[in-house]
Amino acid sequence: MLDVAEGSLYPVLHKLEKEGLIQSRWEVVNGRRRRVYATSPAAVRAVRERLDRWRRLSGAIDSVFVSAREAAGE
Amino acid sequence: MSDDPRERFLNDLKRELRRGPLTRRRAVREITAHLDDAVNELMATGMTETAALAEALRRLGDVGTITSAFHELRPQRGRRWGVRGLRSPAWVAVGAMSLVTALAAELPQTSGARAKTPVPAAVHFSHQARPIKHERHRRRS
Repeated sequence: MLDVAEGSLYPVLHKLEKEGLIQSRWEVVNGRRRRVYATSPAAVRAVRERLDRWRRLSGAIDSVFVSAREAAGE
Repeated sequence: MSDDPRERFLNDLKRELRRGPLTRRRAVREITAHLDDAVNELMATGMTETAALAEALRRLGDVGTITSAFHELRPQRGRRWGVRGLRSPAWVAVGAMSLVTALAAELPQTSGARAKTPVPAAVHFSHQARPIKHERHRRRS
Protein backbone atom coordinates (compact mmCIF):
# COMPACT_ATOMS: atom_id res chain seq x y z
CA MET A 1 0.00 0.00 0.00
CA LEU A 2 2.77 2.42 0.95
CA ASP A 3 5.90 2.43 -1.17
CA VAL A 4 8.50 3.88 1.16
CA ALA A 5 12.22 3.76 0.43
CA GLU A 6 13.80 1.60 3.13
CA GLY A 7 16.70 4.04 3.41
CA SER A 8 14.40 6.84 4.56
CA LEU A 9 13.74 4.81 7.72
CA TYR A 10 17.12 5.80 9.19
CA PRO A 11 16.53 9.55 9.46
CA VAL A 12 13.26 8.77 11.27
CA LEU A 13 15.01 6.35 13.64
CA HIS A 14 17.74 8.91 14.38
CA LYS A 15 15.15 11.58 15.09
CA LEU A 16 13.13 9.30 17.40
CA GLU A 17 16.33 8.43 19.25
CA LYS A 18 17.21 12.10 19.69
CA GLU A 19 13.73 12.64 21.12
CA GLY A 20 14.36 9.80 23.61
CA LEU A 21 11.61 7.59 22.20
CA ILE A 22 13.89 4.73 21.13
CA GLN A 23 17.32 3.49 22.14
CA SER A 24 19.87 1.70 20.00
CA ARG A 25 23.14 -0.15 20.24
CA TRP A 26 25.46 -2.08 17.93
CA GLU A 27 25.28 -5.86 18.19
CA VAL A 28 27.12 -8.59 16.35
CA VAL A 29 24.73 -11.13 14.82
CA ASN A 30 26.22 -14.05 12.82
CA GLY A 31 29.50 -12.18 12.56
CA ARG A 32 27.82 -9.00 11.25
CA ARG A 33 27.47 -5.71 13.06
CA ARG A 34 23.88 -4.54 13.34
CA ARG A 35 22.25 -1.56 14.96
CA VAL A 36 19.44 -2.84 17.15
CA TYR A 37 16.63 -0.45 18.10
CA ALA A 38 14.23 -0.76 21.03
CA THR A 39 11.45 1.47 22.29
CA SER A 40 12.00 3.43 25.49
CA PRO A 41 9.37 3.83 28.25
CA ALA A 42 8.73 7.38 26.96
CA ALA A 43 7.60 5.87 23.65
CA VAL A 44 4.56 4.19 25.24
CA ARG A 45 3.40 7.53 26.63
CA ALA A 46 4.10 9.25 23.31
CA VAL A 47 2.09 6.65 21.38
CA ARG A 48 -0.86 7.10 23.76
CA GLU A 49 -0.68 10.89 23.42
CA ARG A 50 -0.50 10.72 19.63
CA LEU A 51 -3.41 8.27 19.47
CA ASP A 52 -5.48 10.61 21.63
CA ARG A 53 -4.51 13.55 19.42
CA TRP A 54 -5.39 11.59 16.29
CA ARG A 55 -8.82 10.64 17.72
CA ARG A 56 -9.53 14.28 18.59
CA LEU A 57 -8.40 15.42 15.14
CA SER A 58 -10.41 12.79 13.23
CA GLY A 59 -13.43 13.51 15.47
CA ALA A 60 -13.18 17.24 14.69
CA ILE A 61 -12.96 16.56 10.94
CA ASP A 62 -15.88 14.10 11.12
CA SER A 63 -18.05 16.62 12.96
CA VAL A 64 -17.37 19.28 10.28
CA PHE A 65 -18.36 16.94 7.45
CA VAL A 66 -21.41 15.59 9.29
CA SER A 67 -22.71 19.14 9.87
CA ALA A 68 -21.97 20.03 6.21
CA ARG A 69 -23.96 17.00 5.06
CA GLU A 70 -26.82 17.94 7.39
CA ALA A 71 -26.79 21.53 6.04
CA ALA A 72 -26.97 20.15 2.51
CA GLY A 73 -30.03 18.15 3.55
CA GLU A 74 -28.47 14.75 2.96
CA MET B 1 34.41 6.50 -10.03
CA SER B 2 33.61 2.88 -9.14
CA ASP B 3 31.83 0.50 -11.51
CA ASP B 4 30.52 -1.50 -8.58
CA PRO B 5 26.95 -0.32 -7.88
CA ARG B 6 27.35 -0.97 -4.14
CA GLU B 7 30.50 1.15 -3.89
CA ARG B 8 29.04 3.85 -6.11
CA PHE B 9 25.90 4.05 -3.96
CA LEU B 10 27.88 4.22 -0.71
CA ASN B 11 30.31 6.81 -2.09
CA ASP B 12 27.41 8.98 -3.26
CA LEU B 13 25.75 8.60 0.12
CA LYS B 14 28.93 9.67 1.97
CA ARG B 15 29.34 12.65 -0.32
CA GLU B 16 25.71 13.82 -0.26
CA LEU B 17 24.91 13.30 3.41
CA ARG B 18 25.47 16.77 4.85
CA ARG B 19 25.56 15.95 8.54
CA GLY B 20 28.04 16.06 11.36
CA PRO B 21 30.89 13.54 10.89
CA LEU B 22 29.68 11.22 13.67
CA THR B 23 26.07 11.14 12.51
CA ARG B 24 27.17 10.68 8.92
CA ARG B 25 29.53 7.82 9.78
CA ARG B 26 26.81 6.10 11.80
CA ALA B 27 24.18 6.55 9.09
CA VAL B 28 26.52 5.19 6.40
CA ARG B 29 27.42 2.19 8.59
CA GLU B 30 23.78 1.40 9.31
CA ILE B 31 22.71 1.71 5.69
CA THR B 32 25.70 -0.40 4.58
CA ALA B 33 24.70 -3.12 7.07
CA HIS B 34 21.09 -2.89 5.87
CA LEU B 35 22.19 -3.21 2.23
CA ASP B 36 24.48 -6.18 2.88
CA ASP B 37 21.82 -7.98 4.94
CA ALA B 38 19.23 -7.40 2.22
CA VAL B 39 21.60 -8.75 -0.46
CA ASN B 40 22.27 -11.88 1.62
CA GLU B 41 18.57 -12.45 2.25
CA LEU B 42 17.72 -12.07 -1.43
CA MET B 43 20.57 -14.37 -2.46
CA ALA B 44 19.21 -16.96 0.00
CA THR B 45 15.99 -16.96 -2.04
CA GLY B 46 17.95 -17.99 -5.14
CA MET B 47 18.82 -14.64 -6.75
CA THR B 48 22.24 -14.03 -8.26
CA GLU B 49 24.47 -11.54 -6.45
CA THR B 50 24.03 -8.94 -9.18
CA ALA B 51 20.24 -9.24 -9.20
CA ALA B 52 20.10 -9.26 -5.39
CA LEU B 53 22.21 -6.10 -5.19
CA ALA B 54 20.07 -4.35 -7.80
CA GLU B 55 16.88 -5.28 -5.94
CA ALA B 56 18.31 -4.30 -2.52
CA LEU B 57 19.41 -0.92 -3.92
CA ARG B 58 15.97 -0.37 -5.46
CA ARG B 59 14.27 -1.09 -2.12
CA LEU B 60 16.68 1.14 -0.24
CA GLY B 61 15.84 4.10 -2.46
CA ASP B 62 18.10 6.53 -4.28
CA VAL B 63 20.69 8.62 -2.48
CA GLY B 64 18.71 11.83 -3.05
CA THR B 65 15.61 10.43 -1.32
CA ILE B 66 17.61 9.26 1.69
CA THR B 67 19.65 12.43 2.09
CA SER B 68 16.63 14.70 1.68
CA ALA B 69 14.80 12.67 4.36
CA PHE B 70 17.79 13.26 6.68
CA HIS B 71 17.70 16.94 5.80
CA GLU B 72 13.94 17.30 6.37
CA LEU B 73 14.08 15.61 9.76
CA ARG B 74 17.01 17.67 11.00
CA PRO B 75 16.05 19.63 14.14
CA GLN B 76 15.28 23.25 13.20
CA ARG B 77 16.76 25.67 15.71
CA GLY B 78 14.94 28.93 16.37
CA ARG B 79 11.88 27.96 14.32
CA ARG B 80 9.13 27.97 16.89
CA TRP B 81 6.19 28.94 14.74
CA GLY B 82 6.28 26.71 11.73
CA VAL B 83 3.85 24.33 10.08
CA ARG B 84 3.93 22.22 13.27
CA GLY B 85 1.90 24.86 15.08
CA LEU B 86 -0.79 24.57 12.44
CA ARG B 87 -1.21 20.83 12.95
CA SER B 88 -3.34 21.16 16.07
CA PRO B 89 -6.91 19.80 15.82
CA ALA B 90 -8.31 23.34 16.18
CA TRP B 91 -6.38 24.61 13.14
CA VAL B 92 -7.31 21.58 11.09
CA ALA B 93 -10.99 22.04 12.05
CA VAL B 94 -10.78 25.72 11.04
CA GLY B 95 -9.20 24.73 7.72
CA ALA B 96 -11.81 22.04 7.07
CA MET B 97 -14.63 24.44 7.97
CA SER B 98 -13.26 27.09 5.59
CA LEU B 99 -13.07 24.48 2.85
CA VAL B 100 -16.65 23.34 3.43
CA THR B 101 -17.89 26.96 3.53
CA ALA B 102 -16.06 27.77 0.31
CA LEU B 103 -17.48 24.69 -1.39
CA ALA B 104 -20.99 25.52 -0.19
CA ALA B 105 -20.66 29.05 -1.59
CA GLU B 106 -19.42 27.74 -4.94
CA LEU B 107 -22.27 25.24 -5.20
CA PRO B 108 -25.44 27.04 -4.04
CA GLN B 109 -27.68 24.21 -5.24
CA THR B 110 -26.27 21.94 -2.54
CA SER B 111 -27.21 24.35 0.22
CA GLY B 112 -30.85 25.35 0.66
CA ALA B 113 -29.85 28.33 2.82
CA ARG B 114 -28.24 30.27 -0.03
CA ALA B 115 -30.89 31.01 -2.60
CA LYS B 116 -29.97 34.56 -3.73
CA THR B 117 -26.40 35.75 -4.15
CA PRO B 118 -26.40 37.71 -7.40
CA VAL B 119 -23.11 39.63 -7.03
CA PRO B 120 -20.26 38.70 -4.68
CA ALA B 121 -19.65 41.41 -2.07
CA ALA B 122 -15.91 41.43 -2.77
CA VAL B 123 -16.54 42.82 -6.26
CA HIS B 124 -18.31 45.90 -4.87
CA PHE B 125 -15.58 46.42 -2.33
CA SER B 126 -12.76 46.34 -4.86
CA HIS B 127 -14.56 48.84 -7.14
CA GLN B 128 -15.07 51.27 -4.28
CA ALA B 129 -11.61 50.91 -2.84
CA ARG B 130 -9.59 51.64 -5.94
CA PRO B 131 -10.56 55.31 -6.65
CA ILE B 132 -10.08 56.31 -2.99
CA LYS B 133 -6.56 54.94 -2.93
CA HIS B 134 -5.78 56.61 -6.24
CA GLU B 135 -7.15 59.96 -4.99
CA ARG B 136 -4.95 59.94 -1.89
CA HIS B 137 -1.90 59.19 -3.96
CA ARG B 138 -2.63 62.08 -6.30
CA ARG B 139 -3.07 64.54 -3.43
CA ARG B 140 0.35 63.69 -1.99
CA SER B 141 2.10 64.31 -5.29
